[in-house]
Amino acid sequence: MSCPEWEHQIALDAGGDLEPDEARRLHEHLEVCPDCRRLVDEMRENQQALGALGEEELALGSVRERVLARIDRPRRFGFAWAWGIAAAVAVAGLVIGLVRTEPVEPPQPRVAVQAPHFDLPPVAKPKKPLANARGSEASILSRDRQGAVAEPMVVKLLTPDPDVVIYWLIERKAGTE
Amino acid sequence: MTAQAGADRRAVFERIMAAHERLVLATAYRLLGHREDAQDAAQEVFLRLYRNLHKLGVADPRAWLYRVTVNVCRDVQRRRVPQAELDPDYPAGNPSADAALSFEERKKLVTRGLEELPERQRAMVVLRDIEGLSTKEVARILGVAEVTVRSQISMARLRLKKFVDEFLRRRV
Repeated sequence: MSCPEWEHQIALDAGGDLEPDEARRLHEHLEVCPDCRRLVDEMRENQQALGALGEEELALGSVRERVLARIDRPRRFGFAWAWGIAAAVAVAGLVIGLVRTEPVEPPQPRVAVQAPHFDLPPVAKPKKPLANARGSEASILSRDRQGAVAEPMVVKLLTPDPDVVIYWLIERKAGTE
Repeated sequence: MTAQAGADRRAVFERIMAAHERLVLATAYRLLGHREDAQDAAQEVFLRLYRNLHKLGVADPRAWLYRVTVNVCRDVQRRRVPQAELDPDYPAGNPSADAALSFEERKKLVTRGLEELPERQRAMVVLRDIEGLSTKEVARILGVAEVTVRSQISMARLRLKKFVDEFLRRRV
């Protein structure tokens, strides 16, 4: 097994890429290391094979006719021009779009007429259970200790969506305004 | 451009192309391993030469041609579909009965091994070891320092050696 610390030097030496003093030091080492000498021989064989590739006649044909045909082909519309015009049109369209765009205001909810505020006379005892006011305009009556009832304030809020109506029921203590 | 100037330009271009077509094609083939890709790359190199002829201004356009060939081949490789097959005529390193490697087999093997190298290392081996350019010329063509060429090329040669060793190990 060759010496790892000398491998790169050997690889460079195979291609004649060592400086003179580097080559001298390597050759001193090679005198005492048969494994590295073996590596040198193998690397040189690869280098010779690579060098021989450079001498080979490769049957790659010729591109001369193709190149001349491309040069002689008339250019109807310059490629660079086409891209330039396309880019200019795109920029112009973007500018026009930005200028004409107006900010869109969200629709403002319409507030319905506020339910009138009035005082109910005190009721001693309810004759039937109170209705569940969820989803409807029914009033929820609250009582004080004496059984007096205060009418809650009902606010009906209409929204842009006709299927959505918001009711605010604000309870008030009896006897308060 | 006057008609005379255009004719002169054309004549200069054709002369340069005739003198260096083999150089460009062979380098492209070594870098790409595929004849058709090499021809496409060479065509692009010469079209760029035609467009930039007025900028060259040097007596020997080889360095420029090598540099553009490496760049064009790099672009071709990056556009390639992965696992693209090599040219069927590209050496496949067929093993022979003899355990030792013949010179022809070794040539085929190192050619195959080139394909396994990273792009930059492959370019350095092609320019330095196959095309025979100096380290200084390779550094100038690739736009790197000479010390980088030395470092990368020694790694590339060691990788090629490992590739050949692996092939021999599997064959035995």
